[in-house]
Amino acid sequence: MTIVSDIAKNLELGEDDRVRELVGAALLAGVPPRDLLEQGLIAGMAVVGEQFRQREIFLPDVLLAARAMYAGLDLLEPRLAGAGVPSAGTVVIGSVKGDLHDIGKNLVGIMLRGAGFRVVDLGNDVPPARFVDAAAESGASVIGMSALLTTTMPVMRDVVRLVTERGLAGTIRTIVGGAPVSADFARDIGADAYAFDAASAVERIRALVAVR
Amino acid sequence: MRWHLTWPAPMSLPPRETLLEAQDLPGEGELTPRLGRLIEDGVREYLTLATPCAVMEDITPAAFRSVLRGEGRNLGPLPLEQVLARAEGLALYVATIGPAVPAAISRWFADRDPARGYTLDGIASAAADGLSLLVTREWTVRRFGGCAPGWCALPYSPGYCGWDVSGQQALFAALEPAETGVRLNESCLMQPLKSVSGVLVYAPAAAHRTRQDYPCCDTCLTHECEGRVELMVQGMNMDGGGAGSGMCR
Repeated sequence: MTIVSDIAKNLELGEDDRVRELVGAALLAGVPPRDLLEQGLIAGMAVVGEQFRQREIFLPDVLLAARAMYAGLDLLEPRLAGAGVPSAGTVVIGSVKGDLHDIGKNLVGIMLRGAGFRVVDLGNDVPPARFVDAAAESGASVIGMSALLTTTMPVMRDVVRLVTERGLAGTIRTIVGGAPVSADFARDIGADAYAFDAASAVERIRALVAVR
Repeated sequence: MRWHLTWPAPMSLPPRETLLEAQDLPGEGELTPRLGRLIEDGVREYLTLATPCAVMEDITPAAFRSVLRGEGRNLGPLPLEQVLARAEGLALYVATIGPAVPAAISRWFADRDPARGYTLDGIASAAADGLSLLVTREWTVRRFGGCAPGWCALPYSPGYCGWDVSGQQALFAALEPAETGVRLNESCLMQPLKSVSGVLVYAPAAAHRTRQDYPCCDTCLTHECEGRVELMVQGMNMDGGGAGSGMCR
């Protein structure tokens, strides 16, 4: 077993200390950061994601693996930035203005990072202009919005409208999700996609990035 | 009458099987050791940080009708109105597990330990749900000396079954629950998170079993109220202490 596949295996097991140790050792040994990211961390998270989709493991198992992924990323990120390693795309995410619930949004962010995306997490209570400004500044191709309240869902429409008003609809796609949100609502407000949960959000965003 | 209630944290902790169910985890026998440890850590942290409290106050039917009307956005007529027609007592309430647990959840996520954050969040959500039942129990005992045979008090909340969530504004204006530290933001969201609010309704148990043909039933995605009400009616008719237990003689 190579050190890279060892990293992937330990990530699957949620062994964060071991992943940190292995990534550190691999960097010292001169293994390219890109290989550690793609064949170690992302590959491990892909296995975990598939196990979760097949209902072989539970969400906290995925999150333990994510903790291990972060342990490796903490060491890798400074080197990846300098190495010009391309990501799967940049996604701006946040819970919309007035909404302080962020567990679902956090899960989407974790899954996206695990799939190799660069994530700009704006947190919660995010006003429409901040979503669009952040997307424009970071070169994001997708804005992901979360709402857990029926009272905050209309903010999603404001964000979609603002993207269009600024002439960015061709370059920035929008996706919405959250307990009260539905595919019909997404269509109604003109969003490009709707995601039922964090796992499907990654698939939808992959598709949105691919058709750009 | 108005009451300010506080409980020791363990009183608000739901049974372990409820915590597992709340996180879609399997039963005790099938739980892996690492998930078991995660739950244990979360429970320990919850018990250290939670400061559950509530305020509840009787309200007349006439005053409550105004609260229920709120900003006029209800998808009425409402099932709750059917229950109110046979109610003998009403009280508004707000309850919370306090600010420290939600803050800790945010910290876990910020510190890149989502497993701990998610687990504590699940425990906190289940505990907050259980607070409604604790409040109901306390109110029934204090107000009626326990429920009479065939009678039962249940909590109803804005945001459910056609009662628009904007009704929170009227509820908070009527109750003014400053003792709890809970406040509303402009989206009618209670802060700190993991707080609950609503009206307690003491009525014949049969009155709580409402019809399923209201306008709100057409748009409901879950249709789980029937089973939930039945479970709560049964729960309220059991003796014992702790979240989810009842108060009946």
